[in-house]
Amino acid sequence: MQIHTIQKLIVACLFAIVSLGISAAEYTVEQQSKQFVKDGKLVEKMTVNAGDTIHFKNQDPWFHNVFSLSDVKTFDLGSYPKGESKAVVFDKAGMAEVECAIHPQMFMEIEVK
Amino acid sequence: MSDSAKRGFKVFTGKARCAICHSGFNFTDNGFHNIGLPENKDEGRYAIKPIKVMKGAFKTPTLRDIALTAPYMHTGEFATLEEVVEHYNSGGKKSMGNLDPNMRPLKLSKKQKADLVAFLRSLTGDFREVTAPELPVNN
Repeated sequence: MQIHTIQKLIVACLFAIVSLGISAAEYTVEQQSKQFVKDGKLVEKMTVNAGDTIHFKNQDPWFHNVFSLSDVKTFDLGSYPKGESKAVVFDKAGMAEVECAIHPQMFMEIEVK
Repeated sequence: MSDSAKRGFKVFTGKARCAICHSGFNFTDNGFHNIGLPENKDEGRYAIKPIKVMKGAFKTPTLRDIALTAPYMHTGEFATLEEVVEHYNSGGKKSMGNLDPNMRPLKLSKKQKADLVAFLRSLTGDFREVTAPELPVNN
């Protein structure tokens, strides 16, 4: 009986993990003409859910950087050339400010719910 | 504009890759780069933004009237535009453990370097007298 309960728990846990994996969304934000662009439009703010991933793809013929020093998410993707993409998982609720260190006019906010 | 300066513009936007950073009507991307100056001992923008690529990075200056503003670079280590071009032609060296990835040896010919300097000299405008404005006085 006890073993049966444990089996049920394991199945429930696996289901929960798989469900989480399915519900986490993936977005692409491009670096284009020294701006953050999403779906072909300048993006200054976007909202994602905790666990979602954003791919930052450089579409400019020069190097870009992406970083955030926000409490909710601190990261530095270094500098990378055209065609390369780097991903960040936003796993904690709050507001993240994301910038390009090389081109400080490139700035956007990401609200993580 | 001389023929040499016209050829220099092509070098500027092409082989020398200057326009990657010195872009737009003010010849600046308003960005920050470590251009590998041998004399640099200053962490630069890193003091404000502690991100690795900002180590030794300084803001891209305008090139307008550049022939009138020697000495060059934030260190003042180059006296002439010819020395500046030689520096970029070399590709620079890491300073503060960093070098902008856009920096690389350019392999410019002697003529291309001379044309590039001619183009830079052509960015000199006519002198405009500036008159200090009269400020209102509070009585």
